[in-house]
Amino acid sequence: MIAYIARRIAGLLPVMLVVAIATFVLIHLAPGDPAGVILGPDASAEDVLKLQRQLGLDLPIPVQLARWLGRLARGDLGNSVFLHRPVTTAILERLEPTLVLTTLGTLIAVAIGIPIGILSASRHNTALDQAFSVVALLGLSIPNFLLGLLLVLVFAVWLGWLPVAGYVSLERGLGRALPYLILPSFSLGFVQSALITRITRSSMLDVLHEQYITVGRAKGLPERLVIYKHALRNAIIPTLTVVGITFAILIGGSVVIETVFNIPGLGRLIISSVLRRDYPMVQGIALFIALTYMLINLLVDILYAYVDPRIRYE
Amino acid sequence: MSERRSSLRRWRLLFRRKIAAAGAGMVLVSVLVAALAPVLASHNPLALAPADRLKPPSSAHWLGTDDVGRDIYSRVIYGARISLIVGGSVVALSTLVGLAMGLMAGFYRSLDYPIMRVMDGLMAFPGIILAIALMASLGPSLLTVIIALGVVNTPRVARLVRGSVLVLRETQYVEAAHALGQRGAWILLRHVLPNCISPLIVQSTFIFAAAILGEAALSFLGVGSPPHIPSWGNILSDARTYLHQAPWMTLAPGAAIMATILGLNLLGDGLRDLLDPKLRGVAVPADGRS
Repeated sequence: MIAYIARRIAGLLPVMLVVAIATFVLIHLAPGDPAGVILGPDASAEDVLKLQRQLGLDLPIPVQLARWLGRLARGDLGNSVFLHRPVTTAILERLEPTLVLTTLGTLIAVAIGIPIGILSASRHNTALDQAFSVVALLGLSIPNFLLGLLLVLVFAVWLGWLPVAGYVSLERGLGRALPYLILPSFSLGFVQSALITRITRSSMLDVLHEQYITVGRAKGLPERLVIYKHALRNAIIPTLTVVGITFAILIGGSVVIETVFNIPGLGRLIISSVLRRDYPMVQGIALFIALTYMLINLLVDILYAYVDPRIRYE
Repeated sequence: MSERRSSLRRWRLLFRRKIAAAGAGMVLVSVLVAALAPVLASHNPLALAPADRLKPPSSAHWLGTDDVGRDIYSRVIYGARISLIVGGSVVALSTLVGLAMGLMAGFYRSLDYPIMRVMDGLMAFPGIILAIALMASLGPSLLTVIIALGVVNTPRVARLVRGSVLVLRETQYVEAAHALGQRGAWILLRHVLPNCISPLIVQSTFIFAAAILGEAALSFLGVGSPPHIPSWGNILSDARTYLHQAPWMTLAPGAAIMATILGLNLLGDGLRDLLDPKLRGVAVPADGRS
C-alpha cells in the first residue's frame, strides 16, 4: 500500500510539470503584461520598459520560465506583482472562504444525495422514485450561478430572510458566519447532490440484484438491515468516487459562486489576477488548485481500499 | 441491409422511450428558435432605448427590457443562436481533436504516455479555471470562447476513446487484421474507429450541454462573449446588478438555459440507454430495469 501511494505521488510530478509549464506559457502569451497594467494606458514606453526590467519581464520567456521553475523546486512561488507579498501568503489569506464553501457544499450534496439515492433504489419504479429522478435531472440542468441568483431573489430579495451577498469569517463565530454561507453553499451542493443521487441509486440497484441480498431477505433479516448493512456497504464505491470528484468540481464551481455572492475567496483572486496579468499569482494559484485536485483523487483511491477490502493495490 | 434495419429499430426504440423523445423535442425547439430568430424576435436584440430601461413585461416588451432598454424576449431568442453555435462548435472541435488523440494514444504504445500526460495536465484544473486562463490569452470573442471550451473538453473525449481503443486493440478481429498484414493506420480507421463511435455520441450530448453552461458561466463572469452579444450568460451578467428592480432579466434567460440543458440531458440519457447498455444504471427512470 505504501509503495502504491509513493508511486502515485511520484506519478504526480510529470503532470505537475506539464501544468506548471502550460500555465506559465499560457499567461505569458496573453496580450498585455503587469507593467502595462500597473502604469495604466497613459504611461510612456520608457517607464513601462523600466518597470518591466525591474520585474524581470524583459528577459526571454525561456529564461523567465527556467528561473521560475528553479524557485519552484525550492518551494518558492514568488511574490505577487500587485499585492506586494508572497503568493503563498496571498493564497492562504483567501483560502478560508473557498475551503468553507466547498466543504459545506460537499456535505450538503452528500446529505441530500445519498439518502435520496438509497430511498429511490429501495422504492424502485414507484412514483416517489420517479419524482426524485425528475428533481435530480432538473438539478443537473441548472447552472450553479443561476441557482444562486434565483435563491438570492427568493430568500434575500423577496423574503428578506438571508443576506444578499458578502462573507463573514468563521473567526467571528459560526452564528454570524452561517447566514452568509447558506445560499452559496446550497447553490454549490444542490447540483452535485443530483449527481450523487443518480450514482447511489444505480449502484444500489445493481447490488440489490445480487444473490446475497436475496439470501439476506430469505433468512428473514429486516429490510432495513439488508439495505443499510449489506447493500449500502457494497454500493458505496461509485458514490465515493463522485463525492471525491464533487469536492474537486466545487473548487471550480466556487469561482463563479464567489462572484455571485461577492465572497473574497480563491476564485475571485484568480479571476482578478488573470485580468491584471499578475503572472506569479496566476501560476501559483493554478499549481495549488491542480495539486489539490490530484491529491483528492489520490485520497479517493486510497479510501476505496479502506471501504472495500476486496480492492488491493500493489 | 440488416445493418440498416437494426439502426431503424434503434431509432424506433429511442422514440418509444418517452423521456428521450421529450428531450429530443426540447432540443429541436431550441434549434428551431435559433434558426427562426429573425422571425420570432419582436425587436432588434441590440437596439438601445434608454427611455424604456428596466420596464417590466408588457404587451410592447413581452419579457420586459434590460438596463439600457433592450428587449429581453428578443435577446433571449437570439441567445439560442449563440448557445447552439457555441455548443455545436465545441462538440465538433473537442470530438475531432480528442478522437485523434485518443486513437493514437490507445493504438500506438509509444505515444500513449506523452499524449495522456498532456491530457492529464489539462484535466488537472477545474474546467472553468482553464477556460478563464485561455480566454485571457486569446482575448474575448465568440471564437475564442469556442476554442477555450474546446480545449477544456478535448481530454474528456481523448480519455473515453483511448479507453475503448485499449479494449478493441486486443480483440480477435484486430489481431486477425494484423495477421492478414494490414497496415496499422488502416486497421485503426477501418476496424477500431467505428467501434468507438457509440459512447462518443452519448458523450457529445453531454459536452454540448457543458459547452452551453461553460459559455454562460464565462460570460457571466465577464470573460466570455463580448458584452454586446446577446448570449444567455451575458444577459444574466447584466441582470445580476438589477436582480432587485428587474427580476425578469434573470428569469427569462435562466428558463431558456434550463430548458435547453434539460433537453440535452434527457436526450443523452436516452441515447446512453440505447447505445451503451452497460451504463444503463446511470439513467433516467423507467429505464426498463425490472
